[in-house]
Amino acid sequence: MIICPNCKHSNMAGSMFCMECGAQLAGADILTTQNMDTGQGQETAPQKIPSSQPAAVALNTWITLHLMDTGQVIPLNDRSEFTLGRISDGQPIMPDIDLSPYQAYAHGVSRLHAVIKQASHHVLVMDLGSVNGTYVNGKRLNPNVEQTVNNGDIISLGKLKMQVLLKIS
Amino acid sequence: MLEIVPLSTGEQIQAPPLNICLVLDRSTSMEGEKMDVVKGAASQLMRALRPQDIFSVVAFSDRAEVIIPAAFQADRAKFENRIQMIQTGGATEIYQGLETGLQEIRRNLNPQHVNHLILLTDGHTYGDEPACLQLAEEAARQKISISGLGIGSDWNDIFLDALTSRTGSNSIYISRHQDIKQLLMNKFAAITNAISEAVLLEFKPQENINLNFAFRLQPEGGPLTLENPVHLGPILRDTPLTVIFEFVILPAASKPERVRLLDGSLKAAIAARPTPVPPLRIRFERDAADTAGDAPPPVGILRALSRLTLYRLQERAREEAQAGHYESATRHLKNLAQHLLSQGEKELAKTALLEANNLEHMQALSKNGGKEIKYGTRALLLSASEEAK
Repeated sequence: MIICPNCKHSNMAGSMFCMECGAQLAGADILTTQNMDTGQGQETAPQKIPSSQPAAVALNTWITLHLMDTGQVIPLNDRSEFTLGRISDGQPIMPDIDLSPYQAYAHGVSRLHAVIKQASHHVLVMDLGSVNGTYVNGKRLNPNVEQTVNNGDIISLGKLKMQVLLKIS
Repeated sequence: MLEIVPLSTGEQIQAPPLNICLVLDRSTSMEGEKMDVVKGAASQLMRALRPQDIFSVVAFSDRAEVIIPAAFQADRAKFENRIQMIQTGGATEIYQGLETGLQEIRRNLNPQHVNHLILLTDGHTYGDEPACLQLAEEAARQKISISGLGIGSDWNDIFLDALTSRTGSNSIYISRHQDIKQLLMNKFAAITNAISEAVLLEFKPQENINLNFAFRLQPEGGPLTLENPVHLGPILRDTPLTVIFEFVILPAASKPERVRLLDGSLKAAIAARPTPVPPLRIRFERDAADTAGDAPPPVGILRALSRLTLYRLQERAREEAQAGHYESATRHLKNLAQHLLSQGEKELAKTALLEANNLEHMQALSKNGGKEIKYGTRALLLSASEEAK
C-alpha cells in the first residue's frame, strides 16, 4: 500500500498517481495548488461587435470593459476618466479601478497601468509606463501616448485582456 | 507503455486507397445550419478524394438511405447535388445508418484498402445500442473501422466510445457546428495517413495477472476495450501508435523474481503491402518484489500518466455522478480542477470547477460541461505526446 501524502488515500503498491486526488506518488515533485477565480461576477456571452461602428460616443454613455478570460464585465460611468491598475500595500497613488479581483497580479498588471478616458466624442487609452505594457488589438502602445479605441477593440494590460464595449445612446 | 513505430526503410510507403462511407444523421434535430455545415463538409471531403478512392454516403434517421452508392467517384457535380438534397426529419436510430453504411463498404471490401466508416450524429439512439455494438464487432472482424463525430451536447459519448473502440477507433466531440468541417477533414487526413488501420493484440491471460486498463495515447487518444484481442488502433505515417497498459500483479504471482505480464502477438494488416505481415511475438516481463524499488519510473511513462490520471479522475467523477454518489464525484472534479490549474489549463479547470458546483447544488452535470472535460482531458494526452516528441 502507498498512502497518499495529500489525501491519505491508500493506493495499490506500484501506483504512480493517487487514484483519489491525482497527486503524484512516485517521482520527485509534489504537485502544487493555486487559487483561482470562479467568476462570481456577471457572466456574459462573448460578444460580436460590428467593426464598422463609429468611434464617436456621447459624453454620458457607459463604457463597459468585458474581461475576456472570466466573462465578467466592469461598467464605468459618472466620470469621464479612469485609471486602471491594482492596489497593493503602501501604494501612494491608487488607481480608480482596482483589477486585483481579476488576477491582475498574475496577469502582469502594474499598480498604475493605464488610463481610459473620454475626450471630444472619442475614447482614448494611454499606457502609464507600465512594466508589461498596454496593447490595443495586439499592438503595443508607446507609454504616455493616447490612442483612440473603438467599440469591440481588445485592450490588454499585460496579459489581462478586456474588450471595450461602448453603448451608443 | 508500448510504442509501435513504422520503420523508415527509405522507400516511400504508398498511401493505400480508401474505401470510406460517410454516415450522416439527418434526424429532425440536425435541422438548419447544422445540416448545412454537414452537407458542406461532405462535399468538401468528396472533392479531397483521389481517383483510386471509393466513397459512399448514407443518410439516416429512423430509416436509412444510400445517397451515394459506393464507387469510384466519376460525376462529382451530380453527387454533390444529391448531398445538397438531403432533407432532415425523423428520429435517430444509429443502427439503421450503421448497417446500411457497412453494407456499402462491404461491396468493395478489400484488404488492400483502408476500410472506414465515419458516423456523424447529434443525438441519442434509443434501444438499439446492443445491436449497434454487435455490428461494430462484426465490422472489426472484417477489418472495418468505425469512428464517430458527435455534434453538440445531446449525443451519448459513452455509447459512441464503446462503439468505436471495438474497431480500434475513437469518438470526437464537436462543440460548435462551425468546427464540423475542420474536424471531419482532420479525421480524413488521419485515415489517408494510415499505414495500418487496425493493429490487434492477441494474448494469453497470465495466471495472477490482471490487465486492468489500457488507453491509446496517440494517434487519436481513447480508451481501449480489454476483450481479447484488443484493438489497439491505427499506425499513421507520421505518428507512432502509443498504448499504455496497467496490470495488477496479484501477490501469488510475485514469488518468482521475474513476472510475465503478457504473452501474445501483434497482428497488423498493412494495406499497401500485397503480402500479409507475419504476427509479431510480444512479451511484457517485469522484475517483481514484495516491496517497491526506489528506481524512479521512466519520464515518458510518468509524463503520460500525469495526464492520464486527469482523464481517469474525470471518468471516475462522471461514473460516480451517474451512480448518484454526488459528494465523491464533486470532490474528484475539484481535485481535477486543481491539477488542471497547476498544469496551466485554466479554461478546463474552470469548466471542471463549474461542473463541481453544478453537481454540488443541482446534483447533475451540464450536458456540455461533462463532454468538454472528457474530451478536453483527452486532448491534453495528445499534447503530452507531442511534447514528448
